[in-house]
Amino acid sequence: MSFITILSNKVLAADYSDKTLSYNPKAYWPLNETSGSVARCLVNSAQNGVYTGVTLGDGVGPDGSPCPFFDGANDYVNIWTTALHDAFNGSEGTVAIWAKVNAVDVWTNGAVKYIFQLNAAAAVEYARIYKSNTNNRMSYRYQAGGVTEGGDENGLSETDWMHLALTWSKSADEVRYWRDGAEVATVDTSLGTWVGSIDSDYPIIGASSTIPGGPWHGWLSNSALWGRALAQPEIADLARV
Amino acid sequence: MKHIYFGIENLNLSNSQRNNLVQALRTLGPASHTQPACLCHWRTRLDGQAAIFEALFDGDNINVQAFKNRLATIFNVDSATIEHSNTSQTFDILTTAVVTFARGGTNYLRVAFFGYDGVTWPTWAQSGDECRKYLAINQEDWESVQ
Repeated sequence: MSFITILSNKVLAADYSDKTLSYNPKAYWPLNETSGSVARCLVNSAQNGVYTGVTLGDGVGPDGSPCPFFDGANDYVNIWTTALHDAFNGSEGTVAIWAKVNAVDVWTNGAVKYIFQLNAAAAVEYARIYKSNTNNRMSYRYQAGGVTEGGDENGLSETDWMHLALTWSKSADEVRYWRDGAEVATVDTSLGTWVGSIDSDYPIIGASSTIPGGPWHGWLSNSALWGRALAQPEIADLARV
Repeated sequence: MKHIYFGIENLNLSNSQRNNLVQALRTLGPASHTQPACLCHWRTRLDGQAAIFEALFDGDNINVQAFKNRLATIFNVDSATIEHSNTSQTFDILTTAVVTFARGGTNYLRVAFFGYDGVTWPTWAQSGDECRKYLAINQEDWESVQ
């Protein structure tokens, strides 16, 4: 990599980081570390996550920053902290993250591959984004008060970076599903009421739990969580680097 | 040092014996490393009776005798009384050595060294490919379907 490319990547990464922070997330993990076990949260260091098994700095994220590789077997980032527990809003929120599959066969291996997961105790309430066990499908789910809302996008075989987002708003009574700044499924309404708080085993990047179930196979970058449903222009802006 | 994946399956260990084994295996690998991938980490099967470990292992800690020594400690017997038998399976491309450990005619533990044929150690990527293929083949045991 040339000096100019490295410099350019650093400028891009700083710009993207600043842009993400400008939308006032509750938590923001760039996932750009190159050593150690700490996944820094740029909003609140008390919300730092912990890497398990990933290969740090293995790839280059969409913003030019280093990003970790998840091996699809036993890697994940545990983002459980009491600070995140206290900051999380189950009624209003947005989860956004960049994801890239290891290879095109990840889309057709029949395995569930989690990208982001937030569960309340006993998994009765959750917000999650995952590659479905149905081939070539990305799935988004939000469940609260016993009501499951979900959007699926089929026919995917993308091997480049994808910006994925899930937004939910009890006050607006809608859940929306996004890829690369555009909605990918019908807006869902008639939300249930989120009453629980996130469980210590289930706020996870790159898997469904600390077991870990459904570990992601590929790269992840720039994951953030908001306490409000971002609007379309904001999602579209975050999907650009 | 070998950066590989290996899997264990409990065949007849009691819960406490299994827990002792798992705790011992979790201490393998370097105490610290700049890369999380090199530190010992694991995945547990849904029924809790099997697990897959990955780390940058010292080869002496993951050979047949090392497992015999661990089982001997758990049973509080001489390691010479622990028997083993070898088979092999191919999950993706490479041969995986599968070793069953027994004592007194009872099988207690099965260990699969993903991508290791008993002679040549695989690369990390090769071992991972074999492990992922094994997980895909046995998905219903390791994944809750969504």
